[in-house]
Amino acid sequence: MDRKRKSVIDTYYYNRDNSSKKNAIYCQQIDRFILVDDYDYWITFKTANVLSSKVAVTVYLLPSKNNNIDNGNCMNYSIFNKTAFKRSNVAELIRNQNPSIRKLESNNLLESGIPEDYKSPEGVHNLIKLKNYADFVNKFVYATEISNSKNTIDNKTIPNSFFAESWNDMFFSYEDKFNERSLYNEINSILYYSESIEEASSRIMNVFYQALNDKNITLAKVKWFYALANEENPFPEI
Amino acid sequence: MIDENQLFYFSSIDPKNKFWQNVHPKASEAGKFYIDITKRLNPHRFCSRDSSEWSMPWNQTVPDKFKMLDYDPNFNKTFEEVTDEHAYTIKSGVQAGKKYALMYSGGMDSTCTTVALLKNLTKEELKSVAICCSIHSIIENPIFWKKHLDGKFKIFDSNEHLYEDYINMGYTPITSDEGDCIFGTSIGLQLYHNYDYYVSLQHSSVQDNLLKLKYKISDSSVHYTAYKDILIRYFSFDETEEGLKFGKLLYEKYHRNILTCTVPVYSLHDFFWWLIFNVKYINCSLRGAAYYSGSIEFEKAMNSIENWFNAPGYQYWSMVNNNNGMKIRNTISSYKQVQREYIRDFDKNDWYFFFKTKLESLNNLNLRGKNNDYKKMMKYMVGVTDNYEYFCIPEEGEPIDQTGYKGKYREDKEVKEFYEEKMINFKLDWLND
Repeated sequence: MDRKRKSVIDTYYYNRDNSSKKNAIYCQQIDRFILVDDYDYWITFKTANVLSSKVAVTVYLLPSKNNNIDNGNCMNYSIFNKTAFKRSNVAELIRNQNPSIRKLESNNLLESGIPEDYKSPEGVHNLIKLKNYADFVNKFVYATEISNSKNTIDNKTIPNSFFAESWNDMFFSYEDKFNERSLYNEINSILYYSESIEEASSRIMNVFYQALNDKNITLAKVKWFYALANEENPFPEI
Repeated sequence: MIDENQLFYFSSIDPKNKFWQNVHPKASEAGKFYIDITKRLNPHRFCSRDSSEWSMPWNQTVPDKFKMLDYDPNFNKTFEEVTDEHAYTIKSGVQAGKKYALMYSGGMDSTCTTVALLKNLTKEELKSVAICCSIHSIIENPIFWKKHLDGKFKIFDSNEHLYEDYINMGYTPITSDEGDCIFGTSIGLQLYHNYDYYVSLQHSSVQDNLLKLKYKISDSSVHYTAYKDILIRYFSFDETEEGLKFGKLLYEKYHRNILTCTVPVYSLHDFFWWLIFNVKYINCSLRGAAYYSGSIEFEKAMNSIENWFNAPGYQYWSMVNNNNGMKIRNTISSYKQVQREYIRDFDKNDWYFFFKTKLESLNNLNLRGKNNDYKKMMKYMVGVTDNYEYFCIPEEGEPIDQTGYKGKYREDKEVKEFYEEKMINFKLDWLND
């Protein structure tokens, strides 16, 4: 890799040599972070896209030197100066429902406590609901992406992305037997449209139940999926 | 020869038109300032719609449809009553055989309008309403789309059509474009959202006091002048002496306008509400007719479009409901609070109620890629006269393509000279002692 390209990419992977990297999802509406993760920021970005059905958010790559913010306390943190964050010359605050990825300077985090307009019991309840749903989605997005990558027989990403529509229409696909979409895309769709963790959990379970009944997935794969999501497997034996 | 007292209904200083940069060095101090407004608030189409002072380089007035109504302190209808009542005027229209094309961006204003129709029109009556939107409209509120719109309405792709297409198909377009005018401008939201930062730019001796005012943006006991220094810094186009001077001039111009108006304007949010309820209003209400209709005359386009929030009920409501928590409480999170409540009562969606961010949703509707010819032409439009004639100043060597345009139109040398002269002679007349 030539030096110029390397230096640009390094600004996005500036913590690759140590373990302190953090990526976070910031919610403009409440001016607080709702999730901090220290694995893969592309997964964080996908999580942000899934959450965008409910909240407009931005993914920030946090400065490596700031180790105070974590997933447990992130809802106390806001961004001090947002004036530089623009898309097409419009402030990020009001620009778009689609998330983008940004880098945050080290001195731009501000500990701010509970957002002023959410201090009522109902407001606090809904902040917790948002936080829990963001964590829930993040876990399942990891599980779907890793499962999808490993179990490529179910993965329609390549034909959907690169093939002419007519090519896809011409041929019967193995996965057509149980769903128009691949199993894991269906799970992401459930996360996108569901209005609560309970609704999403139940619908994901039904999708697996159907797939198991139709013998389109093995119990071992389902068990592995729930382990990846760090959730209890609802199909211990069937 | 253009009459020097020529009256306009609409004007636009758009920095994409190089004419303004070319005339800038020749302009008076006030003329330079007037062009520089685009550095901060772009594009610049300001004009006062009541008797309050807002001097302009040329004479401009407001079409009757958009003139400000007299302030009525006794107006006591709720937002819900006003909204439902207005839906009934559409219902009556449908019953009289009219068809409507609702511009749905997915944002709060057009969602409110859609809810009002879903709530007050029968299933049969809703067959006379088409939804005009884009994929971006759905992205902004997919749950609402899936539950209430998908498969239930005739859908038009708003990227494929101009207003004139709907009018030519026999529809009355409904726009919710004045929604922000009723509740206050996003220009204010961007300041509230960066309040700590703007306080940090002030002298250290006043910072503690200003921080105490952070959540008093809509408090009837704190006058907006308490935020004067922050506002000046916020309006400055950069940190240079010139930039800061501009910020002061712009603040003083708004301040002068408020001092001479007949509606109570007190808090910081009132300040930003008044900015868009008065001087920015005509931009919101006329841009659809001005920029997205070309094959029909401006006057017909203007009168054919139903401007939902321009209804008298909303106008009166907006003037008597400041600083009571209905427009905003302490932060941007509660912006358009009463509208959020109206929508939640119908769709029961707490996510939307608590977490919907105000976005520039209009962009979801106005990409209109297929019709770029009009955009090219309108880039050079600088004014619309009270006789509904377009004044345009094209760049040299780039003649305007008028194909399909049916309105009155001129782009001769005199137009250029007229605006040049106005910019040279414009005077600073709003500075308070």
